Amino acid sequence: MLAPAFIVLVVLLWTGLGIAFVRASGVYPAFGMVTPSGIFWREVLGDEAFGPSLWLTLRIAGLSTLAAAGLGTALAFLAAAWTKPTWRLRLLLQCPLYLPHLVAANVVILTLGQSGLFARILHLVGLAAEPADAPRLVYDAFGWGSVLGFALKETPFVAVLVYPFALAALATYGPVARTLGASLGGILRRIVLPMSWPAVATAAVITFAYGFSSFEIPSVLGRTYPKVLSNWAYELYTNVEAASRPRAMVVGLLVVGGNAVLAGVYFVLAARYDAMLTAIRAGKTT
Amino acid sequence: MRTWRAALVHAALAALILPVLPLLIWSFTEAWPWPGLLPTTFSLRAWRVAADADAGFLSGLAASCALAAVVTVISLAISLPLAELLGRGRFRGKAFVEVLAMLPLFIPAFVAAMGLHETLIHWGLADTYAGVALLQLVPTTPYMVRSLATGFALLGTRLEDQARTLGAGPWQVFSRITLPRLVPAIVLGSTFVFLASLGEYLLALLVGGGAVRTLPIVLYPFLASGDRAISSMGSLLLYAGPLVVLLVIDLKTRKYV
Repeated sequence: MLAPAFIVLVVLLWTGLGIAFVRASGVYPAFGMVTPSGIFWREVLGDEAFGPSLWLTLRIAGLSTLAAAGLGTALAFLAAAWTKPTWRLRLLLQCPLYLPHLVAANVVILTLGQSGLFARILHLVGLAAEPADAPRLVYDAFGWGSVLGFALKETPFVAVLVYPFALAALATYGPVARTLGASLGGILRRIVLPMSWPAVATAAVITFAYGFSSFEIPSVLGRTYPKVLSNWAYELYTNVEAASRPRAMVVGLLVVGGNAVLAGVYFVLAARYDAMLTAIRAGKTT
Repeated sequence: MRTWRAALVHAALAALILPVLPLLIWSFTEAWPWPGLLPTTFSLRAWRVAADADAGFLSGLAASCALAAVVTVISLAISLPLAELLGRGRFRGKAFVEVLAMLPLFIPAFVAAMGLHETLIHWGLADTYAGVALLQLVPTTPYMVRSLATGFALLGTRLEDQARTLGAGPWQVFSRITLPRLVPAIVLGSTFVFLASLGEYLLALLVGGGAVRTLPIVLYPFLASGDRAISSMGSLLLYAGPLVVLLVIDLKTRKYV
């Protein structure tokens, strides 16, 4: 009964990665390569595109995670403090959560591109005469478009993960704290925030991992050089040059390595997440 | 006091979804020259393209929905036994099994797809919907397992034990007790898997090799080319249609929660 799940979750994934590793190490019979070597690893790590690509990837993942974690946590706290858990609230949280990556990228083009709504509003208030005067937020060297696209996509995700913590902490300790004279701001800062950290941290790790490996948003909103690692891997993979394929596997495996580390952090935090939520609901946290 | 604060939170949440509005306007736009805040001419051009069979948008949407439905059903079927084990079982090595089951959430499946490509060609699965479905199962199934395992954990075993004591057979217990009680977990897991498969682009591109024409594959070139009326229409097809259906399902199954 467990075999099909095992085949999908373990056999397919790890066989695929295993073959990718063999190809990356120079054994690629389809292209006449049969001797293992570390040359493709050295080539990728020594490539002048590697540093800029890694830095761009880290920048996009890091900044979008910061934005989404901050905004999402604030939204979750305010929602828990000021509203009741109604279906309307859930609807508002879920609609942006379901935004496909390609659609999020399109939304960024239409709103923040140099002829988008933001630029037109800048024109209205006299800050941009021509589209070229508006800040370049899409197809830019820094990667702002991707940062904002991921932030738009992940903010509701953080809010959804943090919300039950904020709600439980407020329900369990809110009345006592109020009786003792605490303000709402004080309660959120001194009680809800320290109790919600497993949720905030879990959400941030997942968000960072997605930003680090995701393909669509930077592919639509990014430049041709430098590319984020996943886009670079795809570019190499579709290149006609035979030696390009093993390099594509190397870049892909570097993304896998980064995400494997993040997964390790996630599993440690996830155990805390469940234990903490149960403890808060039972009123047992000191 | 309470009311305007609640309204503020709702407004802040709505602001996250507000950027979607330009999609709607653009999809009906013929011309929207700089620096106007609204289009100068409207037209149904983009929606006529949507209705045009040769453009591939409607068939793409149908293909995406069918693919997502197949992936969801298979994912549900293969996840049930594993989720029951993780949700209700107590055994040595459970944490390890959990890690193995959740890792595909983090490990980008496109790297595995690159590694498996020759094998997929050998099996006749490259450039087919079946191949794309198989690879899409990898990153989506952990959502289903996680959601069902929580469902099983909350369900416990008491009700099923009672039914068995009263003489119910295994199938009766499953169909009358277990399955109806798992509906919220099934809906939640299915929603995630369905949407993840629906919007998925890279695996459909890598494994599908151009022969698989899902909506994201049809839409992507228009995002790059800058025909904003068409790309906005395609984005709405991909986002709004399925969203409405899923919200209705969510509303209908709320009574179980």
